[in-house]
Amino acid sequence: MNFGSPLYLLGLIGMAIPVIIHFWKMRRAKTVRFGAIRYLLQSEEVTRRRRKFWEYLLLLVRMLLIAAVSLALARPFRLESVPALSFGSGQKSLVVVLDDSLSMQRGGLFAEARGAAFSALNQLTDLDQAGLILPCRGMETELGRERERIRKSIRDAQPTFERANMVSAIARAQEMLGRAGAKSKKILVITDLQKAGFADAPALGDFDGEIYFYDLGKSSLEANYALGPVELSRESLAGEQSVKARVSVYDFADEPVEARLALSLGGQAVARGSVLLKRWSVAEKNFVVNLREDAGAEGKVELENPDALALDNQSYFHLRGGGRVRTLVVDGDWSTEVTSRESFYLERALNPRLYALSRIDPEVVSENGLEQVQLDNFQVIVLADCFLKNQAQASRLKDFVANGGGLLIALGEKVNADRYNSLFSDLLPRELREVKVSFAGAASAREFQPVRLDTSFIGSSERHPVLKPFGSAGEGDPAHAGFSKFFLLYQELAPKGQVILKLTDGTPMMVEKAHGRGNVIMFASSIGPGWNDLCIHPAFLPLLHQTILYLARSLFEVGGQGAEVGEQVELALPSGKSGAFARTSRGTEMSLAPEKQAGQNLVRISRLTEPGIYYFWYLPGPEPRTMDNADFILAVNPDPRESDFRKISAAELKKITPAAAVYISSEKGVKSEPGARGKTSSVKRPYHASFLLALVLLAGVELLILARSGLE
Amino acid sequence: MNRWQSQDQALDLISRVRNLELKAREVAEGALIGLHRSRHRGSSIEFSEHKAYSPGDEIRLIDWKLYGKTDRFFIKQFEDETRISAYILLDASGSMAYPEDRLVKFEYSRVLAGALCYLLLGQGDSVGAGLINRGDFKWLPARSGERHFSELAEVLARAEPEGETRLGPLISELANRVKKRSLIILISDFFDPESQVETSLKLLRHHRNELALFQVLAREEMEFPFERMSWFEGFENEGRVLIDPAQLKKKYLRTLKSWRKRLELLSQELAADYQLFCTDQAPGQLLSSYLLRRGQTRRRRGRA
Repeated sequence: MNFGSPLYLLGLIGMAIPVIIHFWKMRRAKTVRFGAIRYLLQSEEVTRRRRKFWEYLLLLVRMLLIAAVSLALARPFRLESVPALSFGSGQKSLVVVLDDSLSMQRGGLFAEARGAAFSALNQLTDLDQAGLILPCRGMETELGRERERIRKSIRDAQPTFERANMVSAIARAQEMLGRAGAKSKKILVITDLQKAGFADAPALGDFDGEIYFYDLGKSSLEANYALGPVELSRESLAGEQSVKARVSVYDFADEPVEARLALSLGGQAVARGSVLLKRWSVAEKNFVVNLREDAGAEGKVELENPDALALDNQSYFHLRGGGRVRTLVVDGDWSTEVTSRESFYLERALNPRLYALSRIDPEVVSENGLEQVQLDNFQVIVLADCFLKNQAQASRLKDFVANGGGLLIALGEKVNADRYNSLFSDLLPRELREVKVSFAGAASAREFQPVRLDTSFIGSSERHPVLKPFGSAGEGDPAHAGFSKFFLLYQELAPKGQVILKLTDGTPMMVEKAHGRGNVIMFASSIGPGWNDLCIHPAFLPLLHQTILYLARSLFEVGGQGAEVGEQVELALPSGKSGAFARTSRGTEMSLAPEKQAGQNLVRISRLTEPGIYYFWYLPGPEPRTMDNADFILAVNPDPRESDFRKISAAELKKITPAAAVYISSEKGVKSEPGARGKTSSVKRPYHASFLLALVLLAGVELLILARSGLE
Repeated sequence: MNRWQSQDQALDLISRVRNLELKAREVAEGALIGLHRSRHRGSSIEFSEHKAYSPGDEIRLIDWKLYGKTDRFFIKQFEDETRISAYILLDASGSMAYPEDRLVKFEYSRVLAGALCYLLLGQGDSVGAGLINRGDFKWLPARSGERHFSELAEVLARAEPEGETRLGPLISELANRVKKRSLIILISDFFDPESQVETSLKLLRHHRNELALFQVLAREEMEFPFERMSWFEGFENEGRVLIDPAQLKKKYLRTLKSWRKRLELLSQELAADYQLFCTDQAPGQLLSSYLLRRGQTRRRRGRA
């Protein structure tokens, strides 16, 4: 008898417990002196034999019960000889393809796979060549006679969270053998033969060797359930605090099931629910989550039903943003009449008294009063039609942005293009040219006609975060705003800033640029009603809110980015950024160096190796790095197809691999022609279930004894 | 032992004797309340005088010898014997020491014995006592008179229950000592091998003695109210045994009941009186009901 977890055999010591309790009870019993002991002895004499019999039987049953538990936990198995893969005699080259996909993480399958790989290597002679391919990890060990390197790679190999492409791995093995020019070519594929690993793959090319499949999968299908990625959407425009989370739940089992789900945010369960799944089906479950103001958090939906593979029972997502945003509005047009001040509409738009959901706390000062203000107390500064008094003022603002602050520059009558260009210089997303008074499309000079905003971005998934509220035509209606006066901006050969919003005539209206650790957005017209009527249109409020929150990096981002484990990620670097830093929710950290591609700077993670949340910060960036100030967040989940353990049939496999000979060997021996010959190998036959059955029977016997004998 | 210690012991003994005397009197007087004076004061009767036969007189009382001499019918007239000899045998074996801390069973028996002595001496009978103690037999010959009560009380008060019960051989010894037909009252729990008890009682009866068996049991012995698994140990080196009372209670009560039944049948067979005393019942009351029953039985026997 062999044991998978022999440590549990220590539990056999527990067999002494019933005996100890028996003697302890005897010791604990008090002595009572009794006059009529004669009759007690007479009575006891009659029942003693029967009672002793039941007592000893009960003791034995209880000892066996403990032994059965201990033996069942120790996972006993016997080794049975089955026909093993035999590679025949003569010099040969063998490439082992070791399936390291997610499905191999279940039930100690990968440990068995390692054992099979070692066993195959042991069959080779010193003259034979061997190579190794780990499909998911993308690791290859070229053919050679040195075994130790391959053994170490096998020992170090771990199953991944990815879906394997077994066909392309076999193709790589064929190539490897082809390159070596070996005569007797053999490929050993150690896998659970999961159908998904062979899906969507073209048939392999001709191969003049033999392919052996060592089938580790169980003969009976194990029930497994999995979750797809969580899709988030905002419930309504105004109710920013409500988010709908939709998740797909898969039943990869022959039985229907009621899947129990729990949604947690920041480690705390905030919603629970269940969904009925038919066998081999997928169903959707929706959660509506009410967010707090500071709801920026990692989230996950968890499937609570026990199944064969626990790793696919979580699906990660993230919400970010939140918290109050302190905003300084610097009014350059500080007239005595309050309603004609540039900041009048701005202040009310930022935190309207009736609009309780606003997270923005505005504070208004005149340009003259700016000197007295401690800028560090604010996250965002809005310059509304400011003249720019001197270089010192401009430098303070530049430093503010360089240290991570957000600056919104709105222009107007007080703004002098040359003064701005010289004092702000590299802070401006683009240099100012001149003021244009629009008569666009007018038949004559007297027909004044303001220019409208270009709303072609509406509904586009690629639109800038600032424009996110305008998901469909009619929402906020930005098209109705007319711009009669605005600054023209210089075109640059190498544009420093990105145009967020433009007019229908192509004039840039909102331009963004990263400066140091912060961001600047310039609005090429006035923020007040002087040069345009935007402030009296419904689009004004969401646009302004979104801009301020964006500059403060405080947007709630929902329905954001998601990816699957194993995918490649590329991020375009904004101008002024020289690289990126990434950290996963499991604590893995990566420094990403910039790469140049098609004239653009980007960073790349060639393979997302683990599920969870990935945070990215462009460098230079804010310190310390927190979830809230991350520039990009990615929720990464495993491919749910990897959770389907159905196996590919031998006939399907033959179609894909038209090799000279294909052998499939499994726990039950060789399944398809031609049978393996010669050597045998040992296969584990677990039988802890027998002990569990014995456990149940013994428990029944104990109850019977207790009922029959009246013992306790 | 110094002088003061021996004085203390003497005082203790006197106090115990006094206590016993008082208790015995109290019980005896309690027992007498409501009893009518018996026509027959003793068990044996003696010839007094002749009277001429008249119709209605019992034929069996005709003195046939005198008829032979005088050719006339005379009826023998008898006079109650005023004095009988009674022996109170008190079992002071180990088993009577139950419950160990309070000696309820032995104390009860001692008072009962004292009360009987008091009653018998009070009606002019001569009373002797025997103590079955440590497998030995302590003997006080039968005498009458008020002063003898104090001697009896002292013997009873000195007794401490210990040792094995050996009723059989001791009763045999008693049978040999008692020459005259006597009333023998045996106060014991009768926790002795049944055959020995049976043989010795038959021997006493064989010597034409009148027998009364007073069985004294504690309530715990009669009902076995124990619940926890315990080691049970006897007072007379019977050994110890681990017993779960829940399992054995019924069987024990059956065994004890069958022995009591057998003792009752035996007493009927030997024309002896049997009375069960339970230690939580007032001894005076039980004694009274016993005396009443005994009087009725004797009258029935007399008429028969």
